[in-house]
Amino acid sequence: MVSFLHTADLHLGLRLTRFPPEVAKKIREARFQALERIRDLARTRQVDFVLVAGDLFDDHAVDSDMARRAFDMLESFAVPVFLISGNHDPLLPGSVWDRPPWNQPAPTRVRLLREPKPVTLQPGVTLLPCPVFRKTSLQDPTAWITGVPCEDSAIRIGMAHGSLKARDHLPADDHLIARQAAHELKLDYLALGHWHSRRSYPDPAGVERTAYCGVHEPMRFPGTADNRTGWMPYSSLQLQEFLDAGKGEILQVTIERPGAPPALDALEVGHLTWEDRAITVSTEQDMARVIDETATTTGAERRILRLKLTGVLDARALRRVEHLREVLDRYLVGELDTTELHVLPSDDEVREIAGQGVLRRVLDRLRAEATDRVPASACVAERSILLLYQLAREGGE
Amino acid sequence: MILRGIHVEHWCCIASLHLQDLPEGIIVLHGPNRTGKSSLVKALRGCLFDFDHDTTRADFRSCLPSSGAGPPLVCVEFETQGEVYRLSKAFSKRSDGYSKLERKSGGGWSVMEGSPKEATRRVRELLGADRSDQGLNQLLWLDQGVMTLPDARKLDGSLEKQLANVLGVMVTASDLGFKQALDKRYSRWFGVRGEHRPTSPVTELQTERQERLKKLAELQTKFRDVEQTIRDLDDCQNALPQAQADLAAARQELARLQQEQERSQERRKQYECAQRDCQAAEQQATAARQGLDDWQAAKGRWQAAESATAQANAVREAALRDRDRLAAERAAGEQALQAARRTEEEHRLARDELDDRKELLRLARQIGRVETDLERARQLQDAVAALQQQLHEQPAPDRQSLEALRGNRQAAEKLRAQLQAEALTLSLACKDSTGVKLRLDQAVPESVNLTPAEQAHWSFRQRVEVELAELGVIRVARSHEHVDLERAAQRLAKLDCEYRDTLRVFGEQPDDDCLNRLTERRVRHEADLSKLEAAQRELQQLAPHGLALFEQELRKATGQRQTVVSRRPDLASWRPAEEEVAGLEHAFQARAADLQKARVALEQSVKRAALAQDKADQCYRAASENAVVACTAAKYAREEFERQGEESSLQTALAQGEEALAAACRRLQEAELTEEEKNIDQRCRDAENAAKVRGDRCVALQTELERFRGRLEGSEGLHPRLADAEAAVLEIQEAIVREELEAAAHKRLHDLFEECRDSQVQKVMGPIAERVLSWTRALGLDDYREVRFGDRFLPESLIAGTGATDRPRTLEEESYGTVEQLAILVRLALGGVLAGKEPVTAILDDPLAHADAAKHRRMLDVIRLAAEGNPSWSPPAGRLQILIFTCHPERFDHLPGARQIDLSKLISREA
Repeated sequence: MVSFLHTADLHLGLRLTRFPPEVAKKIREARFQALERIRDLARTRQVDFVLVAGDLFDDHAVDSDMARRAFDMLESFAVPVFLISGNHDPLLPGSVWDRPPWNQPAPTRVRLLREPKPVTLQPGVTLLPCPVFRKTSLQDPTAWITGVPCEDSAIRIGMAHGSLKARDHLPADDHLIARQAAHELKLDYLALGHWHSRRSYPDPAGVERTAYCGVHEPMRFPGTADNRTGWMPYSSLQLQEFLDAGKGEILQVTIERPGAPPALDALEVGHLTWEDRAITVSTEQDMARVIDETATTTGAERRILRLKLTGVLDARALRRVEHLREVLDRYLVGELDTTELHVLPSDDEVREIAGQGVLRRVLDRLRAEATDRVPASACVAERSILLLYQLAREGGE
Repeated sequence: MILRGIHVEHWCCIASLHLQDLPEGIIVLHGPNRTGKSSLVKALRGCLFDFDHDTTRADFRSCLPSSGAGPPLVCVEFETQGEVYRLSKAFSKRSDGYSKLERKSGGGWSVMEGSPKEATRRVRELLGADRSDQGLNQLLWLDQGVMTLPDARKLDGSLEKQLANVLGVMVTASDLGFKQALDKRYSRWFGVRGEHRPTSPVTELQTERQERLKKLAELQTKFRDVEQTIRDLDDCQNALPQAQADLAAARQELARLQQEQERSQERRKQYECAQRDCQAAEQQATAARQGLDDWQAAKGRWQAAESATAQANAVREAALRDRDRLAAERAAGEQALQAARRTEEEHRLARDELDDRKELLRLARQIGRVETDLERARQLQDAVAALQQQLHEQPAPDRQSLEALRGNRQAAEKLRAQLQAEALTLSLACKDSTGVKLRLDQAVPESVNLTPAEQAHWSFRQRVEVELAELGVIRVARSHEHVDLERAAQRLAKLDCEYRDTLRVFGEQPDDDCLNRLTERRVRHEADLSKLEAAQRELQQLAPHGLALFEQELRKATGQRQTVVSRRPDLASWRPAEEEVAGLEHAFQARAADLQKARVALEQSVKRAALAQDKADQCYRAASENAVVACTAAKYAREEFERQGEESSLQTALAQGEEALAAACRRLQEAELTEEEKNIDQRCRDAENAAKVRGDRCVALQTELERFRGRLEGSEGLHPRLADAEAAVLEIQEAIVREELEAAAHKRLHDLFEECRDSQVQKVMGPIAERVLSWTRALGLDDYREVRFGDRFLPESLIAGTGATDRPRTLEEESYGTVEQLAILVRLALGGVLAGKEPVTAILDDPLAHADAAKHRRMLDVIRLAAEGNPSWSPPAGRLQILIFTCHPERFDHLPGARQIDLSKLISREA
């Protein structure tokens, strides 16, 4: 029996452009914290080894501190860690793999598999690694395994990084892997990396021997393919397979004997929670409720929340938006989108703040402009109305 | 409020003044300086508003009379809300001071408020102001020298409130607070003219964005370079094995060729020896053939040189003959030229006589002209002297004097007619003849005899005394002296006296025809003056420096003529004639031209002959040189021909050389190499080159590979740096969007506020502005298109002209007079609006001091209109009581219906 952890796409040194530097640093740090959890699980679950199926780094040109820290972290594992390069960190000359500490011989735990040739992990367990040498390739990375003789007494585990031809219309240069590669290459398990959502695929006998383990730490808001975090796959298309599930997880794989169906156990290791919410509000009570809910959510410091408010509010209620912003400041990231939240002052407010003088005329004009079909003018008018209320109130006070 | 009466005692310089029954409308209170006008205004202000009866204010001390009399007492009667009140104040802190308010009821006054404080408070309540410069008073009570409108920022709140009640709200306090807060924030991005500040956050952020974009672009370029390097590395790695295989193949081919080269070495030596023999035989045959060719060529050159020598000698002989002929022709031409020059010199001597004749002719003309001018000048001198004498003896009045005399007579006639019309007539008739003694007015008494048959009449102006011998004296006189009539009589007497004195100067008697005579004299006088001026002008033109110059010129010309005659006595009796001189001159010129023409022709001929001779000389010298050269060349050609040797020996050498060449060619053909043997060396060199090129290519690929590796190793950390740079750009772009939105919102709000405020001001103040503008035009200030009011009910600027770009001008930019007039117009317009149902009082102390006569007159019309008010105007204008204090009452004569009060007669001053 062999038991191991299957993870991939750690993307250490994640490219983030949509957050302030300190926040981006925390998000990148979270990926190491999730990796620490993997290390803890490897110890507590007493697995035999850990497989990292590509994309340990977000790019082959990460800085040396990042490379060193990742190496040290993996070296601190209690069990061996076998990893291959992915399309984000291919085995290119001069890449991170060619620099210390990754180019130094005989590390204790970490073993980067630079060549496509069988590796005996322990007696009766053979690993068939498929390292990636280019960002894109038209070749099936598992093709070389065809020439490897099969011994019935050994558990054969393949490890590759690429897109499984599980559907049509995949980019041809995205390291495509035959849909039934595990079956055709007589593999007990094919550990795949590249796609970010956890998926498993049955062989013709219905046994799930091929699996993507998902990401160990979310990278984007769940279910959206936009690039609002700044990260983008080194692939020619925005595949739906790259969508995040909103949580970080890995797989524990247990294989009793050669040919036995592998047991797959998903384990959550993610550190941060990414959340995308849209709420429609129309009264001050609605705003109060949203503020309460947002304020009472636990673990705000580990949440990345994107909150979009829509609807129409009077000016008094609109001032609560600032309160909501203050609450969101407690989150690791609390983004508030009010582009579709409009202001419609009540008659009482108009009387109270604008009076009957010039200010009233100004407000009437701005309210007319706020319904302008030109979004830019309407946007300026809406902001001007809020400003008018703010200044009039300041003047009154 | 209407002022109905003012009573002042012991106030400043005023000992006593009582004004009663003051009407509505315009009241002009006039008096010379130091009459007490300003003191009266101060009393009015002090009593109604500014001073309590027991005041201790410092400015009150100046109101105390310098005589020490007192206490000051001021009593003002005013009407408001249909009631007439009287406020009396005795200004003293002692027991004699008091203040009380009374109301008129029936025919008397009843005390309303006896308490001083209460009386004061009640009056201020009735009049709607606490001080004399507050409320409506700030607008309508003008002290002396106040020309401008009040500062809008210091406009009294109660006045503003009254205006807002009537005209409408313009800008509320909250508006102002808002605007102040907005301006403070607006200045963060924009300047006062709406321009973007250089220190605006938007600008700073944009600058920062440029920096970050630049940094990002650099990193992106590096990133692209890395990507390209990866591709290049791939290509390099792919190409290297092939290059190495090519190099190995090239080295194998080179080794094979080098072995083949060693094998063909002996045969190549034999072939080279035969090749050298063949080349030597060919050179020998060629030399023999060349010797024969040279002999034939030398022979041809010798024969040609001999022929050329003979031809050159013939040419030299012909040139010598030409040169001799041309020398003879040149000598003959030079002799003819000498003769022509002598003839021309002889003709030139006749020129002097002709010049003397011309000089005599010029002098005769000059003498004649000077004599004529001298004669005419003497005649003019005589005429001038005669006219001057005549003008001196018969003076005449000028045109103004004559007109003055006529005016004198017309005025005298009018006065006489007036006297006659307004004089009284004394008629006396008597039954018996009697004598009476009359004294008419101030005239000397005269005795008159009356007869019964006729009635006698006398005119008199004021009084008459008739002394009758029997009865005594009868005095008749007007009850009041007719002052105007008396003045007219005095004026008539003065005019008559002036008339007689003037006539006496011209020696005329004051009869009916004397003015006609003087007119005739003036006409004659003017004619003589014209003649005199013409004669003097002609004389001045003819002899500006006097007659002596003419005489001097005559003497000089006569002397010059005598000099010529002495030099040429044969011309002494000659009478100069212009035609004769002209004929002589013409003949002389014709002869001189002919001679000159002949000489020039000869000179040209000689010149041509000289040139031809020179040319012939040159030809001869050239032909001689050619002949020598040809002779020398023939000599050398013959020597060379002789050096070539015999023709037969040369032909023998040629035959031997050709035979040796044929033998060498046969031996070369026998040793000929194969094609491979011939190019083996080249093939070896090519193979060596190919091996070298391929070796170099392999080395280059290896070098490139190392270079690419190094470059990729240098890309460490590029990924996070690029991400950070992109994050920085996105962050600043979002900040710019936010900041631009803030700026746009502030600007929109600012602009909209200005626009709405202007619109509101225009709406509220538009009718007032129109009224002021129409009055301005009535004043003759036609160049204003608009009076622009601010948000405090007062004008800010004037717009002149019709162009949209005309710059608004502040009132301060206008002249003193215009500023004062415009200020009064605005005050009256606003005052009229506030007057409403009840008239209000305006006080103008010495107004329009800077207005010109025309504007002053028109301002009076406007003041009259404002005083009358008009309920049909929009907004309606109420009536005003306007008190004008002035020391120039005549300036306010054109105010129909205005009451004129001479304060100098009413005010008794303190001693």
